[in-house]
Amino acid sequence: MNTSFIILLIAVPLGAAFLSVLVKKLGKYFLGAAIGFNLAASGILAYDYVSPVIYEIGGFKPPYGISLVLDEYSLLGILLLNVVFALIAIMACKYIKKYEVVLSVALAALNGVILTGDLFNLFVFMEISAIAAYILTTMNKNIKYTFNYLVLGTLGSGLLLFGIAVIYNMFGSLNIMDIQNRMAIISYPVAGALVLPLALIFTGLSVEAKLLPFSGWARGVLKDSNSLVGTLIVSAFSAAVLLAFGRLIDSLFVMSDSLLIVFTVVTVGTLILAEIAAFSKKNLREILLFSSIAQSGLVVALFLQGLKSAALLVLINNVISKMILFTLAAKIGEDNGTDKLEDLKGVFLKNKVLGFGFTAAAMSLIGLPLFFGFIAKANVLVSLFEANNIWLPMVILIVSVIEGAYVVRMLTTLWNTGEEGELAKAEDAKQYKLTNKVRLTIIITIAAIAIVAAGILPLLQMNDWFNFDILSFLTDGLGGV
Amino acid sequence: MKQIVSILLVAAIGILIFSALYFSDETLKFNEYGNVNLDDRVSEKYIDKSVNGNTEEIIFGETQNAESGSANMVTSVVVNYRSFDTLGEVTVLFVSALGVGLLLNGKRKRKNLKDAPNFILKQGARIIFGIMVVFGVYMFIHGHITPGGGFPGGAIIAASILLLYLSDDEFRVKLSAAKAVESTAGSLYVIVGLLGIVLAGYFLQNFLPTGTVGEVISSGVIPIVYMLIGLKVGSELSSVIDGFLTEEVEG
Repeated sequence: MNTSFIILLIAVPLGAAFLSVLVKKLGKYFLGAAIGFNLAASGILAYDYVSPVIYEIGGFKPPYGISLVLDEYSLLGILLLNVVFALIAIMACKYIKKYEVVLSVALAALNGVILTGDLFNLFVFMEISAIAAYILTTMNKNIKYTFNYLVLGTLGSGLLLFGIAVIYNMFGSLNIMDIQNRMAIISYPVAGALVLPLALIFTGLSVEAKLLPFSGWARGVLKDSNSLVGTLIVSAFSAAVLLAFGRLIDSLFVMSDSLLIVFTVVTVGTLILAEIAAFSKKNLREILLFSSIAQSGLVVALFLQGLKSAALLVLINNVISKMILFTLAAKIGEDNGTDKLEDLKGVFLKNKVLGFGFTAAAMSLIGLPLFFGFIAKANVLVSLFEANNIWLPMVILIVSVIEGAYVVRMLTTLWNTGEEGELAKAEDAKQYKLTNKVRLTIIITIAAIAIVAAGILPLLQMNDWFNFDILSFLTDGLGGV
Repeated sequence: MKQIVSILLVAAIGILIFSALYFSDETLKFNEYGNVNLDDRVSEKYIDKSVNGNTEEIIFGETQNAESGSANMVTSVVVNYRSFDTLGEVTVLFVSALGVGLLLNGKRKRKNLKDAPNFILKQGARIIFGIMVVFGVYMFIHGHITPGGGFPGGAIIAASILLLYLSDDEFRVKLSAAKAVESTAGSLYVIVGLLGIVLAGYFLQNFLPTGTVGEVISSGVIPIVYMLIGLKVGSELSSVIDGFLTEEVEG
């Protein structure tokens, strides 16, 4: 395998961004080329993957130089990220104008967030991706919310940097693996000394990962966002940040019991409160953004419990279904001037194909059988039971009922024009629009089919696709479901 | 009331952080300033330039072909051992300046200064401008030998531009030229990195001879990268200054 592709995932979009300032007219081609290259490169890396690779930037061996880590975890991350990023860019390409450079930079930074094996380098890439996100949200034309996001985000990065600085002071290294090794050889419990830096890092990452109470920016920024900005933030950005969060929790978070309880309360509290908030909302995008916050809480809670593969499955399910749901919600909002549920009764009768895509994604989100979400949720419950955890499955199941209730309410309203019990007729939905776009329809249909296929096909048969056992890595602990 | 609560809250968090750093009972404590044991930290190898196994002592003006040829240790770390972070920081500034440009776009004209500048001020500022630019360039060309480097050098150049803005109410930077410099310098930084892959094996790896520690022509790609950073930072900050000191023209 040519390991240079690992660094090129970051260098090529970055180079494209710098060049597109020089020749503005070619900006969209540079962006397209960068996205295409990243898709191809992540595909090649996945195809050739044999064992974890550490790429030493500048030729300095770790822990002295900055290194990028390509293991199953980050490989899965870059595959997911680059595919989702490409699909969103294709579906929402009419909004890209003037923002090509920002998108290229964001693509480079998000790949960096997933790949980096160095704490300070992680901070740098988080910073770049956050600034790119602030700039993208100016598309909403509501500077007040962007400013709110900017202030909270900057505070979050500041805390993250503070936490990293304390860790560096204590261990004298920034390489994540090296710090992990240094922690392991200390002969006394390290958890007590780590309370402060871990709390700082957790809080800093929570802002971008949208955990309550640090996610005050999310509602304002997302509730009116278009299908490019909103979808990128709830799927691509969220995926990268959560993956970085997961890597840090997995490798650095040596927690005392009380700290673990605090973190768990924050994450599980996010899950419960955000699902209740989603239930109480009447606008499509608001429902989806709160659902996205809740899912982030669940993913981080699972990482904290040490259930990496379960967390990854929930993450993948959430990223792909949110991509479909948010794109369509933003599109419905834009076509009709509102995304209020009660003003959109029966909107899908005008466009059944997109309606089915939306429905499949929603079903997968709540984890109904025959959809990918079921595999994810089953994995979560089985692995929690295997870990002798009873209360978290209970919370998840209760929350699933709330989630199911608002998703079903959303779907019945969007499909049904009349009152309960009446037969829905397409004529009644005349006043609503859902214009058809070939590109959008094709992508949504394929993504929906993929969700269903991944829910139905016996997972293990697909192992031959890659040289490494990606699916058994994912379903590890699934117990043959 | 709100302010008192905020002050108390901040004080409480401050005490918490301070006590966690300096009064914890654990053996593993936050190292106080100046009390770090260098032996078990990665930074020791940066100082000795011994990441790749060098055991010889580094002597200013004598040592040749060290793994990092820069006499300035900070520069060694910033543009050699951790050059990738610097590329990232350059991108942070790039994308921030881009954001300013996107928000303050359109046709713009200079804002009126409170006091109209007179002839002597205008001419005097031009003389100082020249000296400042030369100093800025000196700063980034010598970044590997003396304190300084691309970021401060670029900031000094931008400051000289700011001086012209403040002393002349008609002066404006040619934005297209600033963009061209910025973009070329950024692209060349990435290209230097890519040349590292082709000529030496890894991204951003040094592919030029590092020469004698302490000489102007030494330390491989470091001076080149610092020049690019200096030009990039200078042009970026100049266009930000232009954005803030101009206003939109109606219509």
